[in-house]
Amino acid sequence: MIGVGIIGMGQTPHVSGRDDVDESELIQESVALALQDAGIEASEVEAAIFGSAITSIQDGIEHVGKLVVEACAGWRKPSFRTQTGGTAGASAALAAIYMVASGEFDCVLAASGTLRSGATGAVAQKALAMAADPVFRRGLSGGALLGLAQTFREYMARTGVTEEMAARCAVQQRTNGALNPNAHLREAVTFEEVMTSRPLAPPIKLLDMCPTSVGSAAVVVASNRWIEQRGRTVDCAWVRGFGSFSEPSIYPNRDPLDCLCVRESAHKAYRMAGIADPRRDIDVVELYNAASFQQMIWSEALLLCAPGKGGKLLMSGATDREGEIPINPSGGVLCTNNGSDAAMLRIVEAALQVRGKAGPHQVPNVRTAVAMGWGGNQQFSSVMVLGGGLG
Amino acid sequence: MAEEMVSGSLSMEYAWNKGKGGRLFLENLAAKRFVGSRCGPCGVTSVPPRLFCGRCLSKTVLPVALSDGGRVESFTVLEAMGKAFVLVRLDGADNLFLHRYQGASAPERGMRVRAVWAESRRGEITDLEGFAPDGN
Repeated sequence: MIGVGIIGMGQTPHVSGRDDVDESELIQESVALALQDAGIEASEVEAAIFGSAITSIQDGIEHVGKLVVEACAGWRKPSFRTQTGGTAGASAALAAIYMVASGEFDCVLAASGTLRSGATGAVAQKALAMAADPVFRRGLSGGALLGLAQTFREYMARTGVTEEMAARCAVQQRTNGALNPNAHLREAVTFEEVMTSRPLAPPIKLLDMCPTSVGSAAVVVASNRWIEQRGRTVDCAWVRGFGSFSEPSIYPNRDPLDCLCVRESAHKAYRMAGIADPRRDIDVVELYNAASFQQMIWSEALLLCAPGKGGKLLMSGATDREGEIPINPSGGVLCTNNGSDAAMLRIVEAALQVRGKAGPHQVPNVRTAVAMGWGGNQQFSSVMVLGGGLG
Repeated sequence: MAEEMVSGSLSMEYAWNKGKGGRLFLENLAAKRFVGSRCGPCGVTSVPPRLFCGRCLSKTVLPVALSDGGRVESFTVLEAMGKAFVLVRLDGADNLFLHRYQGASAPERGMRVRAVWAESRRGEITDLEGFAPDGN
């Protein structure tokens, strides 16, 4: 395969709302940062991919991709939109990687994000209800919370994980997020605050859940030829491996705890990257934790511990910022969730870590980082292995 | 409304096809029966029924009658709506079926439940009101 690297990353600070920009201007902010980081002009980008989740109803704009072509540097270039729910931002980055790996393109930009213009209260609920199957799930939609709460309960029953452990996850993630200048929620929380926060869908409580954030993210992906020509081989996050697997939406054959798509994505990505012992070979992980408990399930699916041992791994402290394999030094999705760019932010943050440019939340001596995306009706996944150095 | 914004609303009507598998399922639901489908090559039984197997895409999928009883695998209460939901493994089915919980007592994992039918039924998912503890 042609070598592929991420040579530019951009993200806006994430906040609860923006009234000063439109969709296209919001996306442009992170695209401009990514181009600047890559040290290139928009004209050097050969194709532009836009990833967004379920924005037609949430934003009140149908086919929002058509509005952001120029913002993504897509003028007179191949351009299309990926839409895989929460995974959309990672899917956009993967599409760019596939294109560069094909040899047809040397430099492709992927961007993601949304203003969520209508996505407050009633509109957000209506939009999520519209994501449910119209024949079999109409009137039964509980949005993301419903599936997450039931998965968490089943996970507790099967493995002995507790609500207290999930609260510990929330404390860890919010502590990390406090150091990330681009995170939305930047205040640490205590164990007691999580445990006594309002029940949303038992066993999930308010502080076990991600916020609704506004912002955007972008990456510039280039071929090894392009990167070598510009002398960027060291200051680059090399794509060592990737995997992306999908599962059905509601039926049949799906066990919500099996994490089949994430596990298979991890197997493929690790095989490509030559990772034999994930715990030893990976230095930092950025994963998609819309709810606190998920990081324990994903630890298992990402092969950081044995099946059923996600709680044990958490409680050992190994995944803390100072631990042996930190999970989400950025604070993760629990601190910042735009929906559209959340999975791309995992890639941006993992790339920052291997380039040593994460700033206040940099983990020392990161050589290999893993970024995981997840979304749809708990069904689309992506796992990417990024490495620094000479490629 | 702030001067930075313009406001508007969307109100639209849709009609969604039930599909062949969906029609079979919902017609039977109206008659208080559950129907699923079993894939010949895989042997996997799914509910609602499908025209093709989601795993192997085989079209040798046959309808099978299922019980209206099953076991609760997981549950939650959406506090904002005040509604309880259960994931039920219907007897004879390999996958889980989501619906409302209608019991008076709190649901539990492993609890036996049976369908609660709406009095007036018209071939929609809400012909089933949900599941309640078996024997109630």
